[in-house]
Amino acid sequence: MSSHDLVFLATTNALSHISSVLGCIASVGTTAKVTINAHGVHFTAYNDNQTIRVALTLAKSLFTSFTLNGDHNSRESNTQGSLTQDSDQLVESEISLSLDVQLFVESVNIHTSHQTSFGGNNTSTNTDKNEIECTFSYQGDGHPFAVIFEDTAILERVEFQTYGDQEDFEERFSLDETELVLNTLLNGSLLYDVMKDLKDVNTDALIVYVKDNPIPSNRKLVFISQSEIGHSKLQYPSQKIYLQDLSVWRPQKMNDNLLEFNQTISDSLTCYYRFETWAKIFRSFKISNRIKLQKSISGLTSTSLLVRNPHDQSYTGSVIDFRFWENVNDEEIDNQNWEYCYNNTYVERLVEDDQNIKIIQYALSNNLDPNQVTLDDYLKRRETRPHTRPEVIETPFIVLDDNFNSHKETELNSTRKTPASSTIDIPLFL
Amino acid sequence: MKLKLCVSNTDVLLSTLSVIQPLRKLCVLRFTPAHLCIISASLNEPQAWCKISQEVFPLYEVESIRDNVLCVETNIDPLINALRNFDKSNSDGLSIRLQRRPVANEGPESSKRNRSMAVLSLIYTEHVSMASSRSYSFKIPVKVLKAEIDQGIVEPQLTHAEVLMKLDRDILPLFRRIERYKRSGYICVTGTNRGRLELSIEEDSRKVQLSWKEFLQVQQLEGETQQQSQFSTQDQDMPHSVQIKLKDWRLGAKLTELCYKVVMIISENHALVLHCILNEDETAEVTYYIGGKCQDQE
Repeated sequence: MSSHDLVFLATTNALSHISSVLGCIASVGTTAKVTINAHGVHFTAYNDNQTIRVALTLAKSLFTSFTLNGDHNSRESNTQGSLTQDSDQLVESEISLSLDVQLFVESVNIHTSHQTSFGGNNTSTNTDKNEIECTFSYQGDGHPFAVIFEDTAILERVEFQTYGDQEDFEERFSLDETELVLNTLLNGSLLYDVMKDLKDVNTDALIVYVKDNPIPSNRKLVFISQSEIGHSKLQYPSQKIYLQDLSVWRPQKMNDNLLEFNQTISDSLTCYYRFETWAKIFRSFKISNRIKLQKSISGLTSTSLLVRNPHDQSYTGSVIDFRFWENVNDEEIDNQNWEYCYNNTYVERLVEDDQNIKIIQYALSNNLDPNQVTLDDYLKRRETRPHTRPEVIETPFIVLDDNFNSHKETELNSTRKTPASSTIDIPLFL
Repeated sequence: MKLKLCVSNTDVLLSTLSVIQPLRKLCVLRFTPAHLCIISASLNEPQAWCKISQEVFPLYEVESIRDNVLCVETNIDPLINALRNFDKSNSDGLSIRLQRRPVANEGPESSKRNRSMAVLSLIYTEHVSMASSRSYSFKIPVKVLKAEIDQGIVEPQLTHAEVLMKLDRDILPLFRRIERYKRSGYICVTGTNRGRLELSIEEDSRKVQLSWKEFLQVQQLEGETQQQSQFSTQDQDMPHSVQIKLKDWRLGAKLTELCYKVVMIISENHALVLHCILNEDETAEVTYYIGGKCQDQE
């Protein structure tokens, strides 16, 4: 089928949602490849040196009308009736083009002056009050990609120049589901809090430590920050509402040199990243309802964000998928070999060393154990006792007051900011 | 040569000056028997011509050998500052006078050289308590312009004007929407005889067209009745465009936000003019002239 025959026309009212999810793409790359098929509109972008890939899908259900390939007899494919027959044919048609995503976001972000930052579940309903209808239209190769914004008073038409085939790095970022070593399902806003705190302590390298357990509350997910000030441990809560799912697999060499992946509860897994990668993407976590974090044996990591539309409960949500690589060839973990990712003694020691590295806990504010340390407590203590170090350990670990528990609770309450205060109003997926 | 003004409410004066302040600091104040004209003009750049009725001033006395017209050039920043200070005080009257500039060593030569230099003196008295009061005096240096220079400063004339449309405050969302586009140097303003308004910006890889869906009220132009009848028979809505610098447009958009009534005049490919009435009692008006891109190239 020649792509010249293809026409795409789709209309939506969910402009604020589209604008906030597209902002996540623009944080990674400048040019995005847009692919349109029967499932929806997909955006893919890479950062400058192709170390991060981001993909976003705006599902077809986000559009009030969605027409792909105008030659079809049924112009609006979401009309019931002959839907199955239609979608069979539609699956085959697919259009792709490239455009400047920065410019695209700038245009779609219609109320720039009212929004301080993109997204946020509690942004004002400006866009929706004005009922701006947004139409995407594309007439095939050589034509611009047009976006039309219309409300009762203003008609805005924006045309974006489209580019032909861009270099595709999709193969490099394809995640083999059969070679997964880690699969977790996390709370978006809570993971955002963790990342923000990691950034606040100027993290250089991030070690993610996971260990499964048959008893859910004994499962462990710890983020270890490595920075100029030493190590910090941020423990992600193991309660089911925060940590919906956690699975670890360990490969085993078979006779025919193939690997067999077995789920494990006895082995701990560590993943090692340069934090700059996370720093680039984590702002998007804030608007997501849940995040699926996966890693394959090759080190390819995927964070899939499910972003619901707060103004439309019936919409299943848009998915933003960031993919990037683990950085294993660092001096701290000097190996290229996956064996070292399991039961790494160095990391195990860091995790178990509760004496020298206090754990920062995360939870909703009312669930927080008063004896647990928040980041504010942590930083405050560090300031007051900067020189205390245990002599035996050479790494510049930070030492916190061991008599911490004996402190008066009233004082504790006054110093705690609770990483959770920002999470109170965010609906949890129970 | 004599100038004696008194003002109790500075609203009109201050808002007029603040509207044109972003354009440039150096302005010409022309006092005529009926109006105070504030002119902000420079070659090949946008110009603003403001007219404040003498009604605004409880006392307005201008005397000169030139039909009682007096013209000075000054930096408006200190003038605005002085007016704002007066506004903040509890004084009920500000007197403005033209005085000779006091020179320390006044010799015969220097007095000759400085003959055109003078000061605009702004004086007001603040009542501190029942018994005491405090006087403030601001001296703003001005240059008195000679008749031939003053006569050379003339308001731009439009050789042709195709569209005259009334803008009201409802149009502001349209102007705010176009603010997202900052990457181009120019904006194209298109109006039609029937009152459609469209703004468009063309960038390297993006084209934007913003149009107002309602028809705006248009004023019919004199001397075009013949043409008009021709259009009506053909039932055609003719577009007329002018391309102007985006930064000049922004000031115009701001003017629309601040003014009570605005008429936009499109002189095709030549100029865009905004004629604004500043306040409800229509004692002040501002006319803002923006030259079109084609004109620059000619």
